[in-house]
Amino acid sequence: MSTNRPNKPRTILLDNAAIGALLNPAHPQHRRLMAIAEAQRHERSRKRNVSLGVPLAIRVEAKWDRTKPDAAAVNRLPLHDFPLTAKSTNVAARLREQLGVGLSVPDAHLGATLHETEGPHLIYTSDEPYVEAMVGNLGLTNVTTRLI
Amino acid sequence: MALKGKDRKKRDEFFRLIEEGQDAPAPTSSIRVPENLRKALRIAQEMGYTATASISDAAMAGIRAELEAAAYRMVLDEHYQEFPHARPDTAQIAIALAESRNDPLAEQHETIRRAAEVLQDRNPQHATDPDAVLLFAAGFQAAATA
Repeated sequence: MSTNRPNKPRTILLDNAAIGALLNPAHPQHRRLMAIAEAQRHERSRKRNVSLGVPLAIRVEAKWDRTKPDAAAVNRLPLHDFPLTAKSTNVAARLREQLGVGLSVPDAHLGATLHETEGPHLIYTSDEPYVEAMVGNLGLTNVTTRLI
Repeated sequence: MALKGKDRKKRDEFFRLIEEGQDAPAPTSSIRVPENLRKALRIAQEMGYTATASISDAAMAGIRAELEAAAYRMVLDEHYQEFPHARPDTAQIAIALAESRNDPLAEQHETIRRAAEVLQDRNPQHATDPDAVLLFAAGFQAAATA
């Protein structure tokens, strides 16, 4: 976990590994993701404004089709889809140019989403060092990572 | 609870409507808000205590939050019906809540678990409230460092 402790996050993002745990009831971290969903339900019931969602390129990476008819109920959790707009595409492309092909397209979209959305940010990931290094290379502040 | 036929249709229609989102047409309508609240909002805006631009924005934010909370509840209830083992306990939810707020307690998993157990024993009507668990946990931590 990053030692930087910014204010309360306004945007919470899930990476590919977090989505895998969310959608698979047999995943060892599935209950943890359900706890995260319950915490967000709790905040909304108290009208506290926080956005929980997924950059769309990461949803592609995770092969998450939200229209799949036989999917579990959890497929319909009202998580926000952060789109790859023309503006975020330019940011993502610039990030890949700066950091080289080591930065994947989904992760570049994650970086672009951090730029475009309201901070502070919280990212749930299975690879904290990688995400923290990406955030550091991007020169972003007010970003916390949590291990799923 | 398991949804029966009619309820399943209602649930599906509910999700279809909220997924339509911001692009749906918005017929002209007025929100009836007491004049005192309109004036109070204007003052709060002038003093910089709220970023809400208008009564409509404030109302929409409230409606959106209410609907999202309902959507989360519907999905989670149905999911736990099929996968009962997936239901987290209150301590786990409190930990997730602390993380989502960057609360220093987020690292104190054992303190939070202990708080959840004590709350269940002493005050069971609040035992399922993760905010109550976090308050108890903060109390334990304060006592430990006093």
